[in-house]
Amino acid sequence: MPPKPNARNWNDVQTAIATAAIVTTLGMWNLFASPAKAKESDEPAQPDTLPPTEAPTELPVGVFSTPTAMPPVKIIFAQATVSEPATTNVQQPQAQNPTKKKKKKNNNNGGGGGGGGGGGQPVTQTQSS
Amino acid sequence: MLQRLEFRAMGCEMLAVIDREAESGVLPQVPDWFEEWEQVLSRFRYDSELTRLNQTHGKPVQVSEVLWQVFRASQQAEQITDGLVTPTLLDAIIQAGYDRPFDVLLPLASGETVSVLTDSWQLTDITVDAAARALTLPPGMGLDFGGIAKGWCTNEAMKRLQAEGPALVNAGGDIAISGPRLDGNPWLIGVTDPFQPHENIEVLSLNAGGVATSGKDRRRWMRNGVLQHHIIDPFTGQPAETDLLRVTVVAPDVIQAEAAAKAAFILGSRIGLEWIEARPQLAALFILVNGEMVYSHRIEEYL
Repeated sequence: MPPKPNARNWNDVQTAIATAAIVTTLGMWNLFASPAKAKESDEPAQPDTLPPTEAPTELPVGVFSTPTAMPPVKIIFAQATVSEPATTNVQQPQAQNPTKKKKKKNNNNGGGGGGGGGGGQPVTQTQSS
Repeated sequence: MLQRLEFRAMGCEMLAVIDREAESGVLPQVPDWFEEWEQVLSRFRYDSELTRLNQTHGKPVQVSEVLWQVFRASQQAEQITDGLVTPTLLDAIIQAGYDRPFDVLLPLASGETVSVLTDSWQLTDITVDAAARALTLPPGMGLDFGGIAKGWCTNEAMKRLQAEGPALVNAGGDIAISGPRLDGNPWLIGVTDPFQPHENIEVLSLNAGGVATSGKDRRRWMRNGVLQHHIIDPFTGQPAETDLLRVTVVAPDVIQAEAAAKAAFILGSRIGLEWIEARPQLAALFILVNGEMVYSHRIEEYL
């Protein structure tokens, strides 16, 4: 069955609307997020902080031949940084007992040579005092 | 061979360990030491030296060597924590409901209110005569050495034990270690999982120094429908409310570890981690209320 004559045009309109929505969303995001980012930059690295910003990435203009004035948009990609503290993100807490993703489990002496009673078991424990 | 002695003191489970072949002559004395120190330093005993000091109301008092040393340790703790850990918050901790030993602390009746600290004392308000080993507390001021006293006792017990061999003392989670074990291996210290207390969430490996953990996962109670705990924020006079559940710190000695753990807890995970990282002698493991774990860089050396 042949496609409708106007089907392609309708797809173009959909694409244009979607593109405009994305561009507007990212523009507004950047507009309102900027003051907060400036404030954060004065502060030290934090466990859940955002990584350094990537270079601004141009947005596809889509079907607009003459883009309207829009602030430059930055897309921030999450990635670990060297200066960040080692963190282990845990799944969202589930009631009383959240699942913890343990970064490292070290139950022995780290492979050191030999014996000396006590093996790899902790001698004692620390807890909130 | 590890010789262990477990007992109860200062409202905590205690453990003293010596690594030596021959039977220890001093290990059985450890409970007596703690009893002696508790009689000096406890704010819960009406006849302790600290209680009597808190009732002197402006008169100079010559204190015992033990109390003097703990006072000095608390001065250092206040200094290294920029005032976050201070023994001058007795009023606040009592107003929060911690007015009796935790063992017998019961949920208080509703209707009682918790007021914000009105008088903010500092250690500098105390007149100190070092030559006479005398302290003069301003009228109305009381001291509560809290974890610093326990840290000092833990450290002191470890120092006394180490004459017989490598020693470890654990006072309810505050741990002092004298040096490597006889076989040269480090001591292994489990960090309990606050959500599953019978399991270790990490195991630290230390040759010497101190470990301490502070948090709101254990010593807490309800007052007027509000959860209270024993770590008081000196800026508000209220139990510190941050995103942290618990902080474990490794330091050159247990007193520093205790002070740093409390300071970091009060500061919260972000600023607390910065505070820890700025002090090369400290390493820390944070557990947040949402279960997230945050490691300082230097804690890797102990894992």
